[in-house]
Amino acid sequence: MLVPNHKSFYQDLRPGFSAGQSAERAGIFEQAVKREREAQQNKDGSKIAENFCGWVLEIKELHVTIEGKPILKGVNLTVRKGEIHAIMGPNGAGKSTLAKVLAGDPAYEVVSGEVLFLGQNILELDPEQRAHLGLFLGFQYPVELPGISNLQFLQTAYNAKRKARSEPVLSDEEFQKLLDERMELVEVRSEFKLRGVNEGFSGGEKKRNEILQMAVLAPALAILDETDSGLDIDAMRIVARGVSCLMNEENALLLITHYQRLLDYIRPHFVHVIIDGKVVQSGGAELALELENKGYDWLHPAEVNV
Amino acid sequence: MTTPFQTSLKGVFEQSAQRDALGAVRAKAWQQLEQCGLPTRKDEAFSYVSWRDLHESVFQSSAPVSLQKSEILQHVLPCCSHSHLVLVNGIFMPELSDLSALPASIVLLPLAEAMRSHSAFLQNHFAKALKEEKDPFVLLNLALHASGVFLYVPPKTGVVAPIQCLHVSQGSQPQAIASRLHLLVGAQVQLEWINSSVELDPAAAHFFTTNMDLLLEEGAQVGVFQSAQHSSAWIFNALRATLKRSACLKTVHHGVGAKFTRQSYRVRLSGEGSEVDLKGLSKLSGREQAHAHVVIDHEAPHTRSNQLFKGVLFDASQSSFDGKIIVRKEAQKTEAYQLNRHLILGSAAVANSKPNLEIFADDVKASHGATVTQPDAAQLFYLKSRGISQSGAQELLIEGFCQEIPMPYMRGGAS
Repeated sequence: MLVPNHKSFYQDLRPGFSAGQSAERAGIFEQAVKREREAQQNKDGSKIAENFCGWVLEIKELHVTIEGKPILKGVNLTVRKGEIHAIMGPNGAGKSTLAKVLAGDPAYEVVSGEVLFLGQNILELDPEQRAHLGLFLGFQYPVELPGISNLQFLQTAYNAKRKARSEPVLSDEEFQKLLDERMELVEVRSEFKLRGVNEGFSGGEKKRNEILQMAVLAPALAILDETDSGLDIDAMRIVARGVSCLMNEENALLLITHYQRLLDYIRPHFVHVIIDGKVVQSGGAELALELENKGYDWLHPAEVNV
Repeated sequence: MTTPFQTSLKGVFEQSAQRDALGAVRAKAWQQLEQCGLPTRKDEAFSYVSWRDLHESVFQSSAPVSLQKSEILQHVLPCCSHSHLVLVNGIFMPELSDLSALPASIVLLPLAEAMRSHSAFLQNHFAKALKEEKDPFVLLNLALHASGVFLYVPPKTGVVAPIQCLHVSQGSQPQAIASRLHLLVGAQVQLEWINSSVELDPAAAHFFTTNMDLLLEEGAQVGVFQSAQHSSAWIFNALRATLKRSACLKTVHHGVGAKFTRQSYRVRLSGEGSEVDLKGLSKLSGREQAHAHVVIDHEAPHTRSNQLFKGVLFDASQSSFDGKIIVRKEAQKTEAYQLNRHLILGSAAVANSKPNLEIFADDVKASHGATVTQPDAAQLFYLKSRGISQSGAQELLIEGFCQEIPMPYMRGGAS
């Protein structure tokens, strides 16, 4: 397998930035990641085996159908704290299905398999209960909620989570303060507070609003389903910066994407390829580049032995 | 066939018809009503209304009662503490009213008195109304009404405070309570009128009918706000308005928890550039019903009308909207919009929508639309994925749906 030299990898793939800037950023980020990985590995060796605190998400042999039609055919995936995973694959491979099933979309039927989130089986839980545990889905196509202001929506969601966790709810002023801070972080203008949720938003504004929700709800695991589609370079940069700021060693990120582009900005630790409802290949960040160059044709489910 | 309802109303009419200067008007209205008869389901305008219970109900004449100011003070809006009038069982009670904040030039009289002081205007007005009126419930109101109210605001009067009209009912026996409000609004006057009802015996299923008759002179701007909440009464209201050049009328009606309401609107845009905006919101549960019947008549060029009626229906509630837009040949450059939306939450709820456009002019922008929907599964999932419970998500969606029709002045109007 082709493993590109990291420096040239960044230089080649960031035409919008000067090479020096990119490399510098990448350097800082990679160092942080390395530290996290080392910390993780140390933990792995000691405690984690008997207590699940290191695993954010474990998907075991997940089979899912919609209206009787199989979509996921035995997905396995493990995500640990502090990790960024990217899931790639051609259209119709089951990427978005996986995201929605994890969030609890009732349209899909889980036939068999197990999904553990922070050690707890969540397949029997309602979407809101999964959210209370700290799971977040950034939708590929966020719906519009006319007449419900962003502020009202976010405050209701935030306090619902606090209540479910037996934490005190925030007063209006406290929440406003938190919201202002997070809006600044993800560069969403304050006028969006009083607008109806996603109502009349452009594609890019909707995606940024998803990131704002993620910033407010501070999930343990964020699944971003094609957040990059429909974003121009500036919007992508803002989204990536917001996401990077929100990542720490206690949470994890699952990026579902069609293109390598977003991964130039948010560098994953692992890349997985889903084809025809199965993870057919996993690797490091370099796998994304390989896919960009070679497409998906060289990966066929039949050829893969797990 | 005469129903107990009709027989009892005849009794009410005979008891009170001749009590004042309006006797002739009442008699004429009753006579016309007898000719056309009360509607049945076969009448197109009433085909969606279920009122078998009403036809079995018996109502008495509304009886005068004595009330203390202190008993109703809590129902007066803070902004209307010196600009409210009180009707008890349909009868205007000057001694319970406080109109001290209104300019002295404003005339506010019991309708029967105004029949003398503004005789020419009112005689003419009633003659025309009787000739044109087709709605049997408006004729019924004319035939049964007690002493209504006449308001005249001279041109260019600055009316600062909104006027609240409190409709108080008292009596444990079901009564027929009919009241009329005649508003003659002079040129360039801005006026806001709030109708609110107070039922001191909430269990009594009265028959309420309040009719508003408005004439807006050139450039007058009037807002009429009305809500019916938690009532077990039968409510048949009507609004008739004529708008002169550049006049503007806005109305908002909320029906929340009322057993039966029917709102009938007929607005004539007779002056160039006049404009009307009608909004209605019903939130119904159980077997509650709300019906709106609208006729907008564009008679002059450059007139605009906008109708937005929404209903949230739980359980086995029923709602209907029947709206007609007429654009006369002369009314070029008219804009007329109509939208009716229902959100259905009850498995046995029924929504009906009947738009009707009669356009004779050729340069017109007009549209109408009707939707009947259930809470959207994608929206519900989106809200739940953010940690909001099923019921919380549904509430938010309902709130979002209703938010487009806010009720000024009234507390908790939509909730």
